[in-house]
Amino acid sequence: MNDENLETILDICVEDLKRGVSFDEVLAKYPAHAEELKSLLTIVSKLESAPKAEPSTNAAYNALVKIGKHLSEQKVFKPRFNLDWFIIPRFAFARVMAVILIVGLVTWTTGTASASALPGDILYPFKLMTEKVTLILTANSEGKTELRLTFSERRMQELLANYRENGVIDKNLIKDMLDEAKLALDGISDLPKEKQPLFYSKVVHFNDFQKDTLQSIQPQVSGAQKTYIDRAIEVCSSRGAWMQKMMKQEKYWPWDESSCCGWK
Amino acid sequence: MSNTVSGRKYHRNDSSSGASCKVENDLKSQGLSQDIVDKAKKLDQKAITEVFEYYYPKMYRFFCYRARTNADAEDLSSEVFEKVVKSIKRQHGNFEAWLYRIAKNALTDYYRRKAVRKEDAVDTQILEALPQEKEAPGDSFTQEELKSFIGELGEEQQQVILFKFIEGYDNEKIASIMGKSIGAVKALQFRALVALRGIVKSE
Repeated sequence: MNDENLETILDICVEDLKRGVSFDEVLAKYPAHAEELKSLLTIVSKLESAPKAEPSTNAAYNALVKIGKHLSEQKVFKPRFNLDWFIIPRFAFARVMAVILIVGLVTWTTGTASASALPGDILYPFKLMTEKVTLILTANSEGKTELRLTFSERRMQELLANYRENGVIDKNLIKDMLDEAKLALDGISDLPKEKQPLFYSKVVHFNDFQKDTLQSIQPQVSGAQKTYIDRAIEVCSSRGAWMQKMMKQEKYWPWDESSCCGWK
Repeated sequence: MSNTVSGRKYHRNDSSSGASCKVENDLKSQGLSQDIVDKAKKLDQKAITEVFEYYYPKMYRFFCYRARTNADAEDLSSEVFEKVVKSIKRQHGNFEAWLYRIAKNALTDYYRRKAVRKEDAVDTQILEALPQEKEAPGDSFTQEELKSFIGELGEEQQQVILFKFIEGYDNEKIASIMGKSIGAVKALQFRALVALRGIVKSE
C-alpha cells in the first residue's frame, strides 16, 4: 500500500476518532498499518486533547475598542469617498495644474526661442512682450534701471545683427535703443542718493560704448541710413557731455528732453 | 469596565491572570451565518462585533503558536480585525478564506518587520508563560510543547495542523480556506503528522 492510500486511511482513522470510535477499534480496521497509524494517531490524540489557547480578555477588549474607533472614523469621514467631494475636486485641481504646466512650458519654450529674434521674425513681438512683463514684475528701481540698460543693449545688438544680415539700418531700433537708455537715465532720479553716482557712471560708460559701436559702422553705411547713424552719434555725444557735467557738479534734476534726447 | 460597540456588553477583566475571553454568545458552536457577514459588510456594528467574537479567538490561535510572544499574537489578531473593518465593504467570495489570507499576510509582514525567522519563533529562551494556559492532561501536549513543535513545521503544515486539530475544521473547509483540493489537504495532513512525530521523538 503506497503513501497515497496511507494518507486516505489516516484521514479515515482521524475522522473515526472524532466520531468517538475507540483507539483500538480504529487500529483493528487496518492491522497491516497498525504500528504506523498508532504513532500518528497518538500525535493526533495529543493535539486534540491539548488545551486551547485563548486570548486574554483585556486584549480582546482593547481590540474591540480599536475596531469601534475605526468604525466611527469610517462613518465620520464617509464624504471623503463621495464622488462629488472627492473625485471631482481632484479632477478640477488636476486640470488647473495641467493648464499652469502647459502655459508655463509654452512660455518658457517660446521665451527661449525668441531670445535671438530680430524685427520681422514671428517671435519678435513675443520677445518685446516678455521684456515688458519682466519690467512690470521687477519691483525695485535699481532692477528697473538695470533692465532698461539691458533692453537698450539688446536693441543695439539687434541693430547690428539686422545690418549684418540685411544691410539695412533700422531707424526704429536706433530710436528704441536711445529711448531705453534715456529711460534708464530717468530712472536714476528714483534711486537713493548714495546709489545715483554709480548708476550715472554706468549709464555714461554704456552711452560711450553705444557711441563707439555706432561710429564703428558709420563708415560702412551711406545715404539716408548714414543720417540716422550720424544723428544717433550726436545724441550720444550730447548725452555723454551732459552726464559728465552732471557728475562733476553732483547735481540731479529731471532730464531735459528737448536739449539732449531729441531723436525723432 | 465594559465596551458597548455592539450594544452587547463585553466585559474587561483587569486581573489578567488565567482569564480567558468570555464571549456571551453561542455562535462558537454554530459558525457564523452568511446573513451576519452580509450585515458586517454594511458596517453594521452588531454584526461586526459578532464576527469579531467568533473569529478573534481563532485568529489568536492562528498567531500564538507562531509569533514570538503572546502579546505579539494579540497585536496581530487586533491588526487583522482593523484591516477587516477597513476593507470588509469590498470583500467578495469566501469570507473565511479572505480572513485567513489577511492573517497570513499579517504574519508574513510580522516576520519581515521583526526580522524573525520561523526558527526564532520557537526559541525556548523567549517563550513566555502563557497566562491562559490550562493544566494539560498527561497524554496531551502542553501549550509550550505545541508552540515549540508546530513552530518547526513548514508554513502549510502548520496551517493544516491548526485548522484540523486545533480548530477542528473538516477537510472541505480547510481546502476552501487554503485554496487546495481535499486530496492535497489529506496529503499535507499526513506529511505534517509524520513530521510532527519526528519532532516529538527527537525532543
